[in-house]
Amino acid sequence: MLASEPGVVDAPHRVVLRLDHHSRASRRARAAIARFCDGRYSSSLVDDAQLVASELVTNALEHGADGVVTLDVVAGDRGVTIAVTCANDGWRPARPEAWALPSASQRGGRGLAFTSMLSSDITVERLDGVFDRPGCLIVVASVEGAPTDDVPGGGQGTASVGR
Amino acid sequence: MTDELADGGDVFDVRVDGNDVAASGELDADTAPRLADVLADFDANVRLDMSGIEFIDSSGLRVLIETETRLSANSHHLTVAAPSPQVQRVLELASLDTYLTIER
Repeated sequence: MLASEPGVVDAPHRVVLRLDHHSRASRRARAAIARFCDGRYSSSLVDDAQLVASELVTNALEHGADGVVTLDVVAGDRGVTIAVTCANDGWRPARPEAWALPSASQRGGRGLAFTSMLSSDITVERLDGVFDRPGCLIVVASVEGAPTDDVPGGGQGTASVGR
Repeated sequence: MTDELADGGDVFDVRVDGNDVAASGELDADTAPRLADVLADFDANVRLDMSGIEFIDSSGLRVLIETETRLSANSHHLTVAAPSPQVQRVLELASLDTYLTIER
């Protein structure tokens, strides 16, 4: 069960993972999304949610401080809300409105563009640290889609993440 | 701990046969450098079989773009062959299906 792991919250509608210092953090995030969402939502929504989570976690590990990253996934009636939190020393990402797809030959810059293309209600919140500790950056994105009908209770399903 | 979440176990593989390269598994920020290392050895046309790629994100795309950019400077090209449905979708999302040569 996921809940048996340190730093894991396993609830019917929510899963939280500490991804600090995992060499395969983005893979771990995708696996959690798959196990949490498979059967609750369409496969296309799960694919999109995995891509969004992978991009946000990769970005957080690249730009965040101290490698501290947390993934928080909530299942709802209108889709999946993904929140990625990282420690932050002052990095300021571009506003979500500017997360546009770069030209084809440009090497990078597609991760946030994919997030913008595949999700809605994106918010970026930067909190200052206290004393000599870094603050944190929280990026929240919702991947919309109705729960599948074959799950009792739909998006309010009770399937365990670690089933 | 479930297998899917374990840190152990290889999730990516690259095989080379002449100018044909076949990659399989999940291509992300952790595994993309391995593909980049293999493709960096080529200064010729390269055919990359991606039928076995189960997942790709922008980190994987970056390797494809960098390789095509480098090769095309010497009039060579990277051909992305048999992309899996997820790879195809991400290539289309990124509007790279016209920048890269794709052999379906």
